[in-house]
Amino acid sequence: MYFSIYSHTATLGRYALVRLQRLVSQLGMLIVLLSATTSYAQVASNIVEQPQLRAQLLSEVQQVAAGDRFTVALKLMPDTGWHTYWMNPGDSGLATTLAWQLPSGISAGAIQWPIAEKFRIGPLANYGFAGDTYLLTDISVPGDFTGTDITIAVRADWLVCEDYCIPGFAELALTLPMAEATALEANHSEAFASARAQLPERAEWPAAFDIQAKQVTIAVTHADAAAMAGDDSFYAFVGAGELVEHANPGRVFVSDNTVFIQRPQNTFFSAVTEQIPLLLVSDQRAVLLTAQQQAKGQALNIEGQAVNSPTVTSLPLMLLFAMLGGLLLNLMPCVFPVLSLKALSLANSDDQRIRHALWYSAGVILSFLAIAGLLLALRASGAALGWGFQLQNPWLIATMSLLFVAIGLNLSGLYQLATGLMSIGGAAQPKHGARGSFATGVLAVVVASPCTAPFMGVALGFAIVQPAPVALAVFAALGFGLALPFLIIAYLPTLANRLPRPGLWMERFKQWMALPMYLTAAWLIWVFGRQTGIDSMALLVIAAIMMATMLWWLGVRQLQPQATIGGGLITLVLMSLSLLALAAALQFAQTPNSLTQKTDSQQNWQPWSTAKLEQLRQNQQPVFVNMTADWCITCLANEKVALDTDATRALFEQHQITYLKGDWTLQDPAITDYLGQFSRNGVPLYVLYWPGHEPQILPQILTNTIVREHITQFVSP
Amino acid sequence: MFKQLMTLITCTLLSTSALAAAEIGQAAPSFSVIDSQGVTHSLHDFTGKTVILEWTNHDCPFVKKHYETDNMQSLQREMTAQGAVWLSVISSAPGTQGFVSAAQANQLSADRNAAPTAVLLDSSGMMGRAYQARVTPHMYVIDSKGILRYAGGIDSIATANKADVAKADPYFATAARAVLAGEPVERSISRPYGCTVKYVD
Repeated sequence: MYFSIYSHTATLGRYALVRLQRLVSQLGMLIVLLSATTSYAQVASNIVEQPQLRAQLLSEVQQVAAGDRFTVALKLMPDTGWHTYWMNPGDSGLATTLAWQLPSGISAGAIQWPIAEKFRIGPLANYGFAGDTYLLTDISVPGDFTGTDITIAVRADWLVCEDYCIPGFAELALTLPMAEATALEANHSEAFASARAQLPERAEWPAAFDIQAKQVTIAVTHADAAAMAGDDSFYAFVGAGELVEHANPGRVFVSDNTVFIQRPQNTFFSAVTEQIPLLLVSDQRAVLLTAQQQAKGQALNIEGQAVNSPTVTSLPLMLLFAMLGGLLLNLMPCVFPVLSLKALSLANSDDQRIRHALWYSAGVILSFLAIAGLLLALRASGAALGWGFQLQNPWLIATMSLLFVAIGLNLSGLYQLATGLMSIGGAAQPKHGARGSFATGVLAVVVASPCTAPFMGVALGFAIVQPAPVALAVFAALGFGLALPFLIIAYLPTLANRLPRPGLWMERFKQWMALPMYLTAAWLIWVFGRQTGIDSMALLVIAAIMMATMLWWLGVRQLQPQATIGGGLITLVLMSLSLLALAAALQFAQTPNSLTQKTDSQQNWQPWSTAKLEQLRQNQQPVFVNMTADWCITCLANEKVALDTDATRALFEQHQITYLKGDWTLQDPAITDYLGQFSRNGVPLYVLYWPGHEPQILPQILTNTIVREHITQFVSP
Repeated sequence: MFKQLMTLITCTLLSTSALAAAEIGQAAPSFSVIDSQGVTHSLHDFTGKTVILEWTNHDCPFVKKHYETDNMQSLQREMTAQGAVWLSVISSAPGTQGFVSAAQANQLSADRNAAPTAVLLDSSGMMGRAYQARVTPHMYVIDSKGILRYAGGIDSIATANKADVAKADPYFATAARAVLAGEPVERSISRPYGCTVKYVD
């Protein structure tokens, strides 16, 4: 009867359809109720027909012995294209729920969920099951159970969705006779076999998760997990609602035997339990694990190589920018004249020109790789323990500020540099053969260095934070960019005539490039001032002025055909004065605690010390620790944006949080030790101590909201 | 290469705007959407008033749960009586469930005895995506300074069962009442449950 009504309804309008479906479901309910009241053995319930889905309860056994455990299955049969939901339904949807009504003493376990599938709907994602789905549940009968039969009844509630959703429910029941021995129901063996084939394996692989800076990091430590993550189809289904974003696949990293899964925290995240189910799925396997939340203050640090797409898309972009940067270097005045000369001679040369161009390019690229290799070797040997360490040294800061002034003045055209190197480059040019072209390539890099050094600095700064293969690739791309015009001209010689003539425009371009150099120098001088005090800073400025005067004089003498001894003496005197001022600047450097000097009425923090922190913690007071340094731009930005704000001040006051600030501008071993406790070797570091809780590390990028969220989680759980 | 570059830029822009959106304690995303009476409403028109946003789809069983029990309508009356602006937003794309013409929207309000300040027709999904509205009903409370104070579900029991309305913890109503009374909101985020918003692809 159902079927005839049902197939009929398909041709009717949607409103009529819904009404009929409601009628059908009511009829279905009536039949279920009738059948539930009659008592006879049945290993399967009636099939309840609801809109877009039919449901039935099946037993794996035909009779049960007291003290045994057996399995029943709720079989959901949605129409084609419709699906029901997993334990975490995703962005919308509802997990199917089962409410058991069992004779007293008999208990039902949790639903054994099959392997979930991901459904994308516009910008959202859901997890569930299409097609016939079995939800298995174990039923335990106690040893002292005395009835002659048992009736297993359940109310199942589900949401079945295609593009739109229909909630449905069924009340299903089956009755099994009690017997001496439990016996399997032969007619159901196939159904239960296919149900079990759909279950994930259960494993005890160590798994942990952690939430930092609105990112959820999950780490699974097992060789098999690492193998699964290598598969393109790998996906981690998180069994907790509103923990991670579902539509965004996030990033996956593999390091030795650990898989790190990083996913953005869900926008509607509010809380999470200590343990979450985690279902790892690849084409080969599906494994269900339990992940534990990391203790507060013990952030999971991601290691290893990303195996999924985001890095893959950004690497070509990095290389593109590096290549464009290399191309731009050709416009620098110390490169362009060489380029145009070389280009013309190349265009006019014989059929060997492609070979020459290739050798030249090889020379350029290998030189760049050598620079990158040197940098990586330095990094590996520990000489570069991060910028931070170097910038703590006032000597280095002072020298760098003078260097940037000197580079700026050079770009401004006050004096010339490395004219000798330029002539070497020219001398190498006439040499023929592969070796000559290769040497010219190497020399082009050397010759170009006075103009390119500032730009190279940017690339170096970038490369120092990248894995070695990426750093090498970036430098190779930079070299390729520099060599590119030659390569193009080798293939298209006529282009050589179209190159713009070297001229004043090159000079102007170079002069504009001086501006960022002066600004960098100003920043370095300020950092130096913060480290050593205003007197030393004034002396450094004097050193810079003396050096500038010396360079000007040098420039003047470069234009004179004949060098005079008097002129040379003046240069020496100016240089000595500059060095003297520099030495004095460093000699008179106070070792000020620049933080304590400032007596700001607005100041709401106290200087950090190990003793003070310990004392406050023993007094059960909440403490916020900020480890900062003047040369750390991120630290300063965070203070401006999130810590020295009215909102955060009020928040600290409201919760009586003591705000301690440690200054690492000059190297302070106590702070270095403290950072080490949190496995950090740099600032910023923000730690929140709340009485009765583990210290909690805040993210390195702060906002008012992040600070507030970290504090309020302790106040109102 | 160019395509990858464009994808990357678009993703970056989208992700930054997504971060800016639906953040509790931050300025709510601005919008400018025409309503079923042909009037355009923008968030800044309502400065000084509490604004409540309700994403809706009249055919969604979860929306029906709250309309057929008169829960939604009585909340609309309660909040608007206290000076709040209540905007029901329909982000269903044309041809999908919940999409209505202006006339149909007005008819629905009359039939259901609903009392929103206005029904916004956001069939482009621009406003819905800005707020990251996921389901119907999805509720938001914006205070008189334009700061987002609540985002999430209407209550604690995620079912389509009408009998659950009375049993549930009314997260949204509690938050809206706190904002109207000038008090801090205790639970400012909850699980939004309901039917997926039928966005245009």
